[in-house]
Amino acid sequence: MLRVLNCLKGLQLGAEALSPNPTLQTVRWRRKPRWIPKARSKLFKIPEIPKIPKEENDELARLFNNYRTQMKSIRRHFTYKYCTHMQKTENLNQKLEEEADLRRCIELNDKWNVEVKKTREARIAADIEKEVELAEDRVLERQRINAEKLEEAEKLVREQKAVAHTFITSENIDEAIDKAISNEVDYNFSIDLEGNKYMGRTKSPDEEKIAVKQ
Amino acid sequence: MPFMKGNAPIRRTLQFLEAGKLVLKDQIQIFAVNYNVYGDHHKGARDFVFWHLPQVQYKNPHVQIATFKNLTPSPFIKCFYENGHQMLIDVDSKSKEEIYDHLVDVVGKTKEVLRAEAIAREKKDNPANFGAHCDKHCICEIPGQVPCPGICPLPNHMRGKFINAKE
Repeated sequence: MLRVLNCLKGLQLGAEALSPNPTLQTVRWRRKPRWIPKARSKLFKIPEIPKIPKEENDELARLFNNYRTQMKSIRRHFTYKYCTHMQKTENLNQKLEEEADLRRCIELNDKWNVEVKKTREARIAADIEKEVELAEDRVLERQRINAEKLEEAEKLVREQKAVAHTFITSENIDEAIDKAISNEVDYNFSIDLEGNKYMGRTKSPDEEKIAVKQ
Repeated sequence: MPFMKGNAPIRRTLQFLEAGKLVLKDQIQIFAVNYNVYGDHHKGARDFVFWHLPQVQYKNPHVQIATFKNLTPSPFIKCFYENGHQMLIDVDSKSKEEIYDHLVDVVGKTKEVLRAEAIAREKKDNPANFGAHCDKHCICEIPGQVPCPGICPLPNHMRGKFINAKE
């Protein structure tokens, strides 16, 4: 709800437009996100650097130095107290017991870790094997596709070579041009009401038809 | 949070939280779990975090529990001791029950210790208990009760010496 209200606030609408409840107030409940740029009205505003008088600055520094010193001493005092307290309450018997227990636990844990290490390494080896297999399969598949493509290309080349003698080259271009000029082709046609086709744009139906195909 | 919302709300029931059997040793200060939110070999650690971590935190309110997600190739649990010692527990491809049982063995308090502590706590907690290690040594310490005969003699009408006295 708040988020919606905030969006509305952004749109200069306000909650009053939506809700008749006069007690409802829009709340800005989080700061502006980092990626939102500076407001346009504040774009060229340079905040004034506060001028602190030298006396005041010195006084602040003195107070702050005092504060730091006192805090440091309190902290040191507590550390010292804690250390002495720990040393006093240290029970040798209990400490030995704890150490023995810790050693036992470490031993137990080391055994478990060794076992887990074995299973983990087996798993990793199996994973690697699977990956290698997959990669090999992919290589084979890629080789098959490449071979197919090559075969297709060669087939195309063979076909083109077979019809190469009909190609127009610089030697026989004049001949081809002559032939084209002498065999005029007209693709236009007209049809009558019976659906008969009459080739040629300007020719009457009685005239000789011109073949479309060369 | 409403009671029946979210995944497995049973995790928030008092009964479930109290059923946890992992009470960490007093020396352990931090309990950190590293795991990934994906991967089959992290499943046990993930389930452990989902099911058992609430119980662990409930039973060990003074231990800092941290989870680190998606920072490690294989899951592990690290316990930091008071004296600077660290215990690394590898939990790769282990089920949540296996992890839990192992943790109880390795970093948890033993059953004997727990029982002794429970007895001690009960003695201290229950105002109906009297004697050594309890709040009160004797019922006579409570105002309005008959004082101990060892401290102050009983009234004559309560004493056998006078009740059974031959005329």
